[in-house]
Amino acid sequence: MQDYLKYLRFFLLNIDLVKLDASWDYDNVISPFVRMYLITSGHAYVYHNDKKFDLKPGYMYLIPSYTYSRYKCELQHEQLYISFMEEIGNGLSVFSFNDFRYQIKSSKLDTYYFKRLLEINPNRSLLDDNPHKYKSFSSFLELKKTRLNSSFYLETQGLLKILLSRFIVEGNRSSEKRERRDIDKVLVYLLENLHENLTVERLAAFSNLSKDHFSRSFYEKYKMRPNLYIQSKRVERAQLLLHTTNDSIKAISEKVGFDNFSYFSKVFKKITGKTPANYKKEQSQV
Amino acid sequence: MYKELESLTLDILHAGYAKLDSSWKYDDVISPFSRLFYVTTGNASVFYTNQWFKLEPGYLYLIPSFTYNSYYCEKYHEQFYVSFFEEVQQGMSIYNLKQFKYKVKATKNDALYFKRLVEINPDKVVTDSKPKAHINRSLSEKNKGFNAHHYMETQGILSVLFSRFILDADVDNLGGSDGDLNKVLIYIAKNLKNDLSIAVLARYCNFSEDHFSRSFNASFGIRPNKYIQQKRIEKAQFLLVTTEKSLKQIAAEVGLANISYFSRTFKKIVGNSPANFRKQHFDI
Repeated sequence: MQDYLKYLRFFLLNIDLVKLDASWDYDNVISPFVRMYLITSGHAYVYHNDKKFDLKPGYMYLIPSYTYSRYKCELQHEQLYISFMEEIGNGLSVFSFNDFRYQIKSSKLDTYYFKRLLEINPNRSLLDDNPHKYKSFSSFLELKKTRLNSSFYLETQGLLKILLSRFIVEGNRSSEKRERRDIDKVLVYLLENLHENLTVERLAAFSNLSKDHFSRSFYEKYKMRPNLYIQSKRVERAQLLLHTTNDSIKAISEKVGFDNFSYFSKVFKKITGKTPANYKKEQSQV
Repeated sequence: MYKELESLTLDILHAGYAKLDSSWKYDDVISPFSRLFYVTTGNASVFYTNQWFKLEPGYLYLIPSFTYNSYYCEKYHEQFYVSFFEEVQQGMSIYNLKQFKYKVKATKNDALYFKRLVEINPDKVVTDSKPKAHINRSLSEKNKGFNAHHYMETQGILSVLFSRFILDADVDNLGGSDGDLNKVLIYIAKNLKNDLSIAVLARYCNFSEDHFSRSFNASFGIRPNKYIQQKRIEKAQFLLVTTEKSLKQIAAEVGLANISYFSRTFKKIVGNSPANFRKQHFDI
C-alpha cells in the first residue's frame, strides 16, 4: 500500500557548503526542485507555506518543489545545501502523498550524511554567487553528463532517502487515505496524459463517474476544480522542462498539451506571474 | 543513463542482531532473497559463488539471491544480518546486469547503519522457531502501524549498504551483439505464467526458431528452455516465501499448471519439494 515510496527516485542537482551574506535576498522564488538546508552557523530566514522559518544552526530545513518562497539573510550564515528533483513512477511527487515538516533538529549523523553526499558528489556547487551568471538549465545539462559510478549513485539515492525521511509526518489521516487512493489513480492518469487532450469528460470516464459527480468529488478533495488542476500541472511540467531542457518554448508548450502557443503563454503567466521566456531567464537566480 | 539502477527496488525481509555458535551450520542453502552480514566479533565461514569466505569482524558480506551457500561457525560469532529482495524493471534481478563484490571493509558508520536498521525494524527479527508465523506477520503487517518515516529510512539505509558492493562493470554476456536478446529476458520475466515456447520467443525477436535457440545459447550459455524453467522455479521460490498462496496457485502463476510436474521440476532444480522449501528455508 505504501509501496510507492520504494519507487521514489532522486536526481541530485546541487550540493555544497557555502557562506552567505546579506546579498542572499530573493523574493518570490518558485522552483521545480526541492531544497534542503543544514545550517552550520549564523542566521537567515526563509518564508514559505505562509510561515517564516528562522534558519539557525543545528537545524535542517526542507523546501518542497513548487513552493513560493522568500529568502533573506541579514548578516551572514553558513549552510550545507542540497537541491534535487524527486519522482515516484511516472511524474508523481512524494509531496502529493505524504505530509512533511519543514524544520527539524539535525543530529550529528545528519551532518555526516550531508558531508558524505558532498564527498561523493563533488563539483556540484552553484557556479557563481552572482545569480545572473548562473544558468541553471544549462548547468543541469552539464550535470547530466557527469556520471557517477554505480556505487556512488546508489549511495546518493540512499542518503537522500534517509535525509528526506527525517521530515516525514506520520499520517493520521487514515480515513481520508482510502478515498485519496482512488483519486490518486486519476492523478497518475492525468500526469501520464498531460500532453494529450485532457477533458473533464475523459477523467470522469476514467473514474467511472458522471462528469458532474467527478468534478464535485475532485473539488471536495483538492479544493481546486479539475480544469484548473490540469492547467497548473501543465504549467508545472513546463517549468520543469524550461529548466531541464534546451527545447524551445513552443516545443515545450506542445509537450505539455497546449496546441495554442499564445494561450499557453497566457496561462503560464496567470499561474506563475511571468512569461515563459522571463521565467527561463530569471528562474535560475537562487 | 542509470536505467537499470533507477528501477532498482529493495524490500527488506529480515533484520536483526544474532549471537551464533557451532549450531550455525547449514549446507546448500538457496534463497530467493539476498543477505548482508556484518560481523562484530568472532569468526565463521560461508561458502558461496564457489569460494569460502571467512567471516571476520570489520567486514560486510553480501550473499546474492539464488546462489547456493553453506554456513559454518566453529565456535562463536556475533553478526548483524539483513535480508532483502531486489528487483529491476519487471522481474529482473540486478545480479543479471551488474557485477558485485561479496566482501568489503566496513566503514566507521556501517555499524551505525545496521544498528539503526535493526532499531527501526523491530518486527523483522528472525525467530527461527516459528518461521511461518514470522512470514505471515511480516506480510500482513503492512496494514497496521505503518511508519512512513521508518519505511523510507530503511529503504535509504539498504540502498547505502547495498551500494558498497556494486561494481560498475556489467555482467559479461558470453556473446557479442545481443542488444535484442536482453529484451527477451525481460519478456520472459514478464510472461512467466504464459506459454513461453521457443516459437513464441523466436517470433518476439523476429528470429527463426533455430537461429533464436542458437543465439540465446551463445549469449547466455544456457538453452532457452532450461533458462525459462529456472526462472519459473525462482519465481516460485519467491512466491513460496513471500505469499500465503497455495502450491497450486503458485504453480499456475509461474506457468506450470500441472502441479505434479511443477513439484518434480522444483525438486529437480532446488533439491527439495516446494512444501519443504517453504517450511525449511527460514531456519537461518
